[in-house]
Amino acid sequence: MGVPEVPIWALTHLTHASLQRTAEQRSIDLLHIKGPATRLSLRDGWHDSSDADVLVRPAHQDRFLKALVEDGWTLFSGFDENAPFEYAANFTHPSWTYADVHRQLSGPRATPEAVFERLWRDHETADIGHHPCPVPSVSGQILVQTLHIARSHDPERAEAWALSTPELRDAALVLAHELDADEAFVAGIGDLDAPSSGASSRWDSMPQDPRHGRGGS
Amino acid sequence: MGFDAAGSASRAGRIVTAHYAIAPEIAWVDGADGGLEESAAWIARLDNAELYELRDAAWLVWVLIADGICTVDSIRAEVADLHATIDFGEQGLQGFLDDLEQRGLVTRR
Repeated sequence: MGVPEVPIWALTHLTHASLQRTAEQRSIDLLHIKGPATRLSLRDGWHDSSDADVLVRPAHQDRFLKALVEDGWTLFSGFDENAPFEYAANFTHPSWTYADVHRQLSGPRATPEAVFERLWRDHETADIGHHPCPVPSVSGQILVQTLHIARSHDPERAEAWALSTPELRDAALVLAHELDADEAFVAGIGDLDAPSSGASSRWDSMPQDPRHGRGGS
Repeated sequence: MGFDAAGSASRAGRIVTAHYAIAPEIAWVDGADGGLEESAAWIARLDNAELYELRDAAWLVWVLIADGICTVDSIRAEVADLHATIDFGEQGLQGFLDDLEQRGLVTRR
């Protein structure tokens, strides 16, 4: 058994599990978001995620960043360098794929603490790499994916929204409203003509993530 | 305590059959999880970030252990039921399981 070349999608799963272990060992609250943290029923098909995204409880952020370094991670780009919202720091590791550590989602005007606490309140657990990882509720997953689309320059569509039942859509809209993220959410679902959204100019003008040449994560 | 070809050992005159389980600090992904038809699994030790790949017969044994088929005899029986073949050369199935254990991928009790 030599050192294998692990497909990037599989490595992303394993990286989520590794990040969760790092968090668990220090009693740090993380929510795994996007990619394999999103239910298959909310995805069009298989996606080759290339990085592992987590949202850290803001009060635990400093401890988590320190823990990552202790576990062999190296800061690639910090919160201050990462356009457009300065909400994510990126880490690299010799074994794992990129880790994107978010301290806030792009879109909500609620405070990072309020956003995390609201998503944490009804989170569920997903097996990622056969390792239990906390993830947002289904409506939270729809919200996260839709807000990502809102800031992305890729021709993606809000697939989680598209694949959701009317009940789930309602729940996601309510959640977006609670987090004061209505504007970004409407931009994400493509309903830019919605009354008083005013979203298109703001959300279409976001710069790209310099690391991947894409909308970022 | 020595083990015979069936992973059993005699302890105080009593036969004790070894039971294998995936070690606690392991994450792993089956090729099927990514929509692949390959018989492959990618495994990580979370404590030291070592990565492994198991294919074909090794993959089959791994997923059987993951499904709770945990003794040498039950693995052999399941493989026979599946009309599959596993060939680990001179080391045999027991040698392969020993290797997994030494690498910290499975535990034996």
